Amino acid sequence: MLERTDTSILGRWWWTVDKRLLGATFLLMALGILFIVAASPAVADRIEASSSQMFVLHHLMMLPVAIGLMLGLSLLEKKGLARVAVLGLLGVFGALILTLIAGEEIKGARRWVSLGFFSLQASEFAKPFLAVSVAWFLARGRENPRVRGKTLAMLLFGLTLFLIILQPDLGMSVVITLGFFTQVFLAGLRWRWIVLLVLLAVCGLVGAYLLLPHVSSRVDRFLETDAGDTYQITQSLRAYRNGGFFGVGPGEGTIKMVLPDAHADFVFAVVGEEFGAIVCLFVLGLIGYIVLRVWRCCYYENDLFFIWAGAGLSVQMALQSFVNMASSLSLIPTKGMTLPFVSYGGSSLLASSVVMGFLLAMTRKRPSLGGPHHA
Amino acid sequence: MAKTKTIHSSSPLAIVRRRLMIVLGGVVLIMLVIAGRLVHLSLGDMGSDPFIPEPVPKRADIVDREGRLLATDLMTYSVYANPSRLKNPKETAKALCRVFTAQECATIKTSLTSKKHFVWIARHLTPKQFYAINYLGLPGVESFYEPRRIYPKARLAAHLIGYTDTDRSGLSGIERAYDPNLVNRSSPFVLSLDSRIQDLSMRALKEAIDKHKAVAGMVVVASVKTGDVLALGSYPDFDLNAVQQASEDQRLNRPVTGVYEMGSTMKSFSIATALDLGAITMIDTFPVGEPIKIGRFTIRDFKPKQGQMTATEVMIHSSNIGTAHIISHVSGPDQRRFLQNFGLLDTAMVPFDEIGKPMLPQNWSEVYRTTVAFGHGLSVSAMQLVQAFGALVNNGVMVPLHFEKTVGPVMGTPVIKPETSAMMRTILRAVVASGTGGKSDVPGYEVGGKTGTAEKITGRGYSRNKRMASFIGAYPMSDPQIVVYAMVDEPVPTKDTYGYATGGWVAAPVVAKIVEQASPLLGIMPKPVIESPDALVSDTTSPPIADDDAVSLSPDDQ
Repeated sequence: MLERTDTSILGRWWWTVDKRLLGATFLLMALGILFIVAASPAVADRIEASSSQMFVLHHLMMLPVAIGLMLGLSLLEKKGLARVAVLGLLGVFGALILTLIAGEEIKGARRWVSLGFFSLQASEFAKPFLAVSVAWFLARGRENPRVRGKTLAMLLFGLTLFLIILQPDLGMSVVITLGFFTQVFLAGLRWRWIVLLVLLAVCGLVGAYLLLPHVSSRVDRFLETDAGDTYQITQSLRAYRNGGFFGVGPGEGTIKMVLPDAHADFVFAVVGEEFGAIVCLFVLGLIGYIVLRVWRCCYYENDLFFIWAGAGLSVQMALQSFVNMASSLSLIPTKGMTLPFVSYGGSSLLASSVVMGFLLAMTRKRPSLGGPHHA
Repeated sequence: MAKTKTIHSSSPLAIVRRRLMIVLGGVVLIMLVIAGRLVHLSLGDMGSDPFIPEPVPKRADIVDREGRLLATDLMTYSVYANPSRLKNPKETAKALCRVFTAQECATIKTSLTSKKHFVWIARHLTPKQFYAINYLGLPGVESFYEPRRIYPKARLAAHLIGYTDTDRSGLSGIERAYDPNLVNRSSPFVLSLDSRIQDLSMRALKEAIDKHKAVAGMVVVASVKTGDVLALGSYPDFDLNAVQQASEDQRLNRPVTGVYEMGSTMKSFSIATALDLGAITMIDTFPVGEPIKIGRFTIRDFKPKQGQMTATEVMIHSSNIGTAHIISHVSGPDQRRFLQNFGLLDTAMVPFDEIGKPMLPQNWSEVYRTTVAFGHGLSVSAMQLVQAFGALVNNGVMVPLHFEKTVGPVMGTPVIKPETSAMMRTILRAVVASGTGGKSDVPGYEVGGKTGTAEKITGRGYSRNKRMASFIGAYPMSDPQIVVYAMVDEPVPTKDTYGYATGGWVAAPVVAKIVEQASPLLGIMPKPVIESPDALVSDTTSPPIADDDAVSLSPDDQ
């Protein structure tokens, strides 16, 4: 549709963008629509929403915005990416502080701030902006010793983590921390520092268990199936069992009628019940494919900024997906994390688009030495 | 760290690439764990959750010989709770009360506030009811699929099909006898039964019962050649979907469980025995004029006749005296051996627990063996009678009756010689063509059979007014295919039966109706009826003798 010689922005974009990564993203979005159509009407009915299709309509309205955002960001070049990320991160800091002051408290945590038409979960956006900013400062520090890249990166990470722990949102903190660790690990951090960081993280988690009552309660419930209310997880496990390999059929599931977050945190269980384990494995594989695709580009990439940013972003995305899946599979204590493009939620959808937009921008073919693109 | 001189001599890019592989390894590992868990769960492992009821095994459908559904599983939902795990049992009960009636609500409140680990809230809910409960979104209130056994044809062949308890184990009929075969079987269980013939047979029986204000009745239709039971009915009957409301009398499977003194129908076997042994011939005659005295008993005929009769005439007139003379030509051991071979002394070989055992006479003295010869002193089930009667007409080969549809060849046991069977067919046809069984005849179908009217035992002796009127017949006599048995218990005489309530007047018309209606469905064509003067002479000059026999066995000193 576009000539090779077309040198317009769109033309260049079309010939340089990684079409497999783009295709995988659109496939995930399409599956997301299907799953939300299956899971959310039951939830909407239960909370007595004005329409059972409320969540479906909302998701469909947000999707073009998200796609636009993703494609827009994928047009960015290196400098532009860094600029958007750093400015975005500053905006996120503002939003996080606003959330702490004026946020709505839902289920014991302040995570959302109302923007009139839309409740914004600022922490969702902290992930991509932080990952790219950290990569940028680490790369700047390498080029120019006078820029204290490492220090700046550490500061940004510390501030983000602090603001998110205040909410509190432990799951998000874990994902951001592991994403940051991946980046500094790839940046050549020495092993003795790595061991120290891991110890610190373990201390942090133990501290969270001892100091934060909602964390200790969840962990206790995970460890002892007989202690207290394990209702959600029992239902979720039953969903997978009911579904078997081929599922009970779209819309035929019953778990969505009893699980409070069937359209968000437990959407994977609904997929398991209605579409079966094989479709679940396909979704898992699709996310794995996205990570692998980014990894391949990173491996042949020569620009350290792109490697660090790409790896950080994709690790975050993978971890977030894994936490969502593993929670509903009772592999880890339940953690409210969304499944990118599949879970219902405007902030999650837009943030996932930002991640994919950045990744598409980074994996575009650029004139450089070596690499598979020019082989 | 980027600028530090690391101990690695390699470039930062080389480090990045090596470490990228390490992180990728970690990601793949997590993916494998998640994938493994997914597969594990979908294989049905629930981990540790001791409070979930066992999944109920599926039970196969029961269908008739042409695949019509008789019993099936309906998917319903059952709801339960673990009260010890409920955060607020009272609130939960209150919420549930919005869905249930006040009465159910009180029970739910009591059970939810108990200290138990498992209580049922409701079982076998329809999807609509289940949705209403789910809609309440109550944590701790759990549910699972629990199939319910339903019987789409309700009363049809209720006694044969049988029913299950709430935990779905078979309690009676096929449901019990074939319980292990039905559990987790994937294909439907095919009965020998034909729903249409069952239905029309029961209608015919019911009509006779209503007409004669009788208390009960039964009917059996079976294939002579294969032993397939095509219809097995007992009246009064019941609705399989409402077993609790049915009385014991309604649930009694008369043809299988009940054993009765069959009366004159048993004469057929006595005559067949004497003919088969060569003790008598078809042209021998026997005196019927004088009652026979054996010890202190006198054997009389219901309608006394004069002179001498052949075996055929003894059967036509159902003469007790004639039968007693005939059996006197057979030795006691021979008589018993033949009864044994006809299966009349052993419990019928059907796998039902509720099968009735025959009641044998106290001893085989002359009195008893004589009364047994015309149907008193030996009680058998209708299953035994029908099976033995099949052998009489089926060239002497007895085929066991069964409820599973026959596939493949059938094994039978020879009981009497084919020539004897041919003679019996002639005799039985004569009984219908010009004897007590006349009302069972259907033009062109060559019905042959024997009536039976047994006086019921009440207290110390036989009752004069309480009778069981029965008829057993097979057709067409040139090549018998179907055997039909009908019995009406305690019929009351009516005006149009001229005051009779005997097998010939009450049960034979039932059999005629069944023959007439079932034959087109079974593909049995009527033979053209030739209205030649000869035929008219042989068939109608002597109108059917529609009186009947009954035991006249009374101690002399009374």
